[in-house]
Amino acid sequence: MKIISGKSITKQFGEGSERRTILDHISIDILQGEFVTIMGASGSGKSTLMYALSGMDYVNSGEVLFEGSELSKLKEEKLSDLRRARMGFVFQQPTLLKNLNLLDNIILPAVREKKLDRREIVVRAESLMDSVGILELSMRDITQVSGGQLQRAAICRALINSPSVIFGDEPTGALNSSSSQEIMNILLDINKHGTTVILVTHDAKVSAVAERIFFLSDGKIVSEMRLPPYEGTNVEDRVQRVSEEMMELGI
Amino acid sequence: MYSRIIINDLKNSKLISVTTFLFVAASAMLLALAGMLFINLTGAIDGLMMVAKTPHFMQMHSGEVDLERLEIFSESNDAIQAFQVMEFVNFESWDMVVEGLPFDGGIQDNGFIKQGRRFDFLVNLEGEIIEPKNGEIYVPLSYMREGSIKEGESVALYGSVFTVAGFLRDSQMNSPLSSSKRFLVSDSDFETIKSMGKMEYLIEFRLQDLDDLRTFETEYIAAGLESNGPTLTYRLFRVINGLSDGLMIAVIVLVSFLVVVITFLCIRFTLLARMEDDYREIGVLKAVGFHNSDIIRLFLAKYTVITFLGCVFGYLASLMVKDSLLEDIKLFMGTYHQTGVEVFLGIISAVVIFVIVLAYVYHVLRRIRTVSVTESIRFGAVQEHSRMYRSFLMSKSRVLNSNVYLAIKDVLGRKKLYWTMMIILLISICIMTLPINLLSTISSDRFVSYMGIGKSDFRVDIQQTADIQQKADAIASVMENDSDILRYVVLTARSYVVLGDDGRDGRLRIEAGDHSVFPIMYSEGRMPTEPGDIALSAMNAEELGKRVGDKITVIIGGEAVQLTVCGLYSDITNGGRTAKAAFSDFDDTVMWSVISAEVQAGSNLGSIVSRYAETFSYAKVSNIEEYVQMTFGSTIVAIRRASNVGILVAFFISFLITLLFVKMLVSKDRYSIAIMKSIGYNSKDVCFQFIVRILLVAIAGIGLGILVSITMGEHIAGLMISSFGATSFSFEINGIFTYLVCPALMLIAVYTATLISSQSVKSINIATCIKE
Repeated sequence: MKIISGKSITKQFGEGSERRTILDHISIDILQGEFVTIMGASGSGKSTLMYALSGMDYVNSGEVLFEGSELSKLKEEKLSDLRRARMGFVFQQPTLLKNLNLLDNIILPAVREKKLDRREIVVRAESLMDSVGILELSMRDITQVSGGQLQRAAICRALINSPSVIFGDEPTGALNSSSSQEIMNILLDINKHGTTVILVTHDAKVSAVAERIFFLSDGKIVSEMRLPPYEGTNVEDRVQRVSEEMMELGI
Repeated sequence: MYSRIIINDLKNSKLISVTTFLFVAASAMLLALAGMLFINLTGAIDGLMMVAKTPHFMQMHSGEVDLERLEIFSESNDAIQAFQVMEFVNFESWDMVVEGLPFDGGIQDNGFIKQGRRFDFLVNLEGEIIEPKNGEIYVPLSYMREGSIKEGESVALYGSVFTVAGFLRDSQMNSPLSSSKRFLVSDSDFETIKSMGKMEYLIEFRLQDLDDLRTFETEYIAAGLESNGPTLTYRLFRVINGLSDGLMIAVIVLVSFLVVVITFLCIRFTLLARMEDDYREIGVLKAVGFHNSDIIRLFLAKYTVITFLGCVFGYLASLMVKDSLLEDIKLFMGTYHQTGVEVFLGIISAVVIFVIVLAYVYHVLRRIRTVSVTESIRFGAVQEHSRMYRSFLMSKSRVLNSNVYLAIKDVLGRKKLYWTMMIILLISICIMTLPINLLSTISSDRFVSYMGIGKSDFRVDIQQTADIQQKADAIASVMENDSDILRYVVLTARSYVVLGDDGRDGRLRIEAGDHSVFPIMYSEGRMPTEPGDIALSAMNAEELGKRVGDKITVIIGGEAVQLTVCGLYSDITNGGRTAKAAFSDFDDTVMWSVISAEVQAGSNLGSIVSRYAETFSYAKVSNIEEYVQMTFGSTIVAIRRASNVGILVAFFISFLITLLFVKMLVSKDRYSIAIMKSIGYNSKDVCFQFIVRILLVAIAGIGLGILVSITMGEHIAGLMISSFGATSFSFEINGIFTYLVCPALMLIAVYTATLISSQSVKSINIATCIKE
């Protein structure tokens, strides 16, 4: 079942002679429960595509359907509700609020959602933090933990309202290799439990965990690669295939 | 390079630049105005008093005058430069008919006079000494202002008909605070009508040296010369002439001070916010070898341009506004001709603002020196927080809505930033409430009790007439049997010799009687209740060097009696030199008697006052309310205007500053806002957070501001009111305005501005901000 469907998405920046087309009539379908990555060189439009698919940025033309709702037709409040309840985001830099500790940052979307009472929210947050190994840091300020720990907190925040899709924009881009691997394992685990994961990356190793990879160049999808489910397969082979494709496309 | 940086910076922060410009311009305008008005006022007063040759010492007296004795005294005293006795003929308002209608002369003691021979000249609006022709009458300017008489109208007085030939400036009695007004007629007309009114003498002296005035006063009293009326001096005339406009200048200086403070706060806030934003860039600039002074110069350049433009604009604006504010001064005192001095003072005021604003900007910018290169590049601006702040957690709070929580957390976490905003709102509410409470204090019927007049319904003054004691007794006996009178009290003043500590004797006018019936306010101590008590007016206490508890020796019935100073009070009656005691004495001649009375509830005060005035024509009967209105009427109007302007200014400042503050906050917080939006908070949520933040700060600022206004404000207002002679007083708080209307107006201003400014949250694009 399609969870996100983008039809002829076009996104342009700038005015007049400086106008540049970042996404050029892209059509893309993502199925529920899939683990998808979007790859491309710097400036290819991969992050812009992710922001367009999540409704965080508007498109100049085309449409994006999220669980059947066309995002451009939703009012800001409805779009926010949808983003809060059905989507989760993890960015390259951990976007946590400076003046809150880790736990408060994580529960922020759930407190606004009001589906659970405050005690239940805290219990859920602590369980998520426990599952990613940062429970003992819950009262720490964001300046008192490492980048990897912050990224795990950001994943917990993305999961707090049990979304159907997790979007990640280079979530391991600022991390060392061991932290990077841990984050990827967490995302794989989330995906295993049925949450769709869409990642933007330029790292073949990260991309190789996906079942489907879209390659972007000059605002267009120039290639799409399908891989077997990650578990039990040879990681090096997967990375090799992705790297070869990238070489071939000149990314 | 600088000009490009400045132009780009101005383009990128239009609202901040415009607001800073406006505040600098307002500061420069107000200070330049205060300077120009001050020099005009003092210059015009000096000019008028010089042309008019105002007496240095004037003794009012009624009854017989021994001219020969006065002349001998004058010739034998080397301190005297010139001496004259002027005849001043009082008439009742109803004696004068203007264009067929009785003249409305209010409660003033109106009289006519002929031009001074040697000095004390009455001048026309061109500042020339008037020489009235027969059949002409010149009218005091205050009546032109009130519109009671117009030029060219016919005036009938005691059977003679005059034409109003013009209006006169009177260097002694121009001010509404002066209770007498002099009309000028020609010498021969004066001789024709002088026998019809009540004659009063103005015994006037000009001295060789004004510094000898005190010694001269003592010598005059010691010589036992005519002195049954008030004594007035050159300094008092100068103060009375300058009072109303001086008060306006004081208000302008006060407001300009507040605006300068607001300008500083505004600059501090915008600069700190900007520096916080540019923290990393400052670090980078340092890392690549820029000196602190180079970076400071970059920031300073923009403020130099804004401050310079603001000061120039402010100065030009002051030139445009000054004429309307100078209207009264020019009308009553004449024009000050030293335009060069005026221009110079205005420019100096603007330069002062320029220098202090830039000095302040530099002072704030010195923080750049403390920016550490490595820390700034790694973390940006990091703030330390208190334990209380850290323990205020959303996870621990059961009830707080997430938006309210985030708003409170933000305010607690950035106290320095919000403190600036709070102080501005605190000052704004003070600007709103101070004049209102000053107005309610001066308008209150209790206010006269701070001025040496007990709160009664009306008072009857008998002075400068024969048999005062008998006349007072006669009035008292009528009151005793008058069913309209609820209660009354007779106070009788006699002149006593007081033995000075330095061996020099002086004279003291002591009002004896029951002072508890219509008590006045004492700035220190209490009213006299025992025969050994004496209370002194502030002026007398200062001259005698006495304080509460000190002893004073007075000759009563030929014997030296020691009295204890039990209280001090302010007095605007009888030249301010009075004393009050509770002893009984029937020996010495009575100088004046005051009978204060309160009427029965429901009685018609106006008709009772008229009845007494008609029955006892030798006495001056004043309705206290009317007295207050006449004495303080123009001040009340000025303060009412100031309070209206205050409300507008404070509303505008609160609105503008909040608009700017929130706009800056939104711009500063755009990354956090984008994060919130990305996790499902909508623009309404964020706007609501801004409203809660600002309202929290506003409520704190308004609350503290009201507290400051009713406590410290009382002292500030006290300074102004003391210029009227009241040394101490307490605020009559206008509760509805202070606690309800003003806070509500401020909250409306702040709320509306926040609502408007926070709308820019909607345009924050998550993708753009997060990718930055």
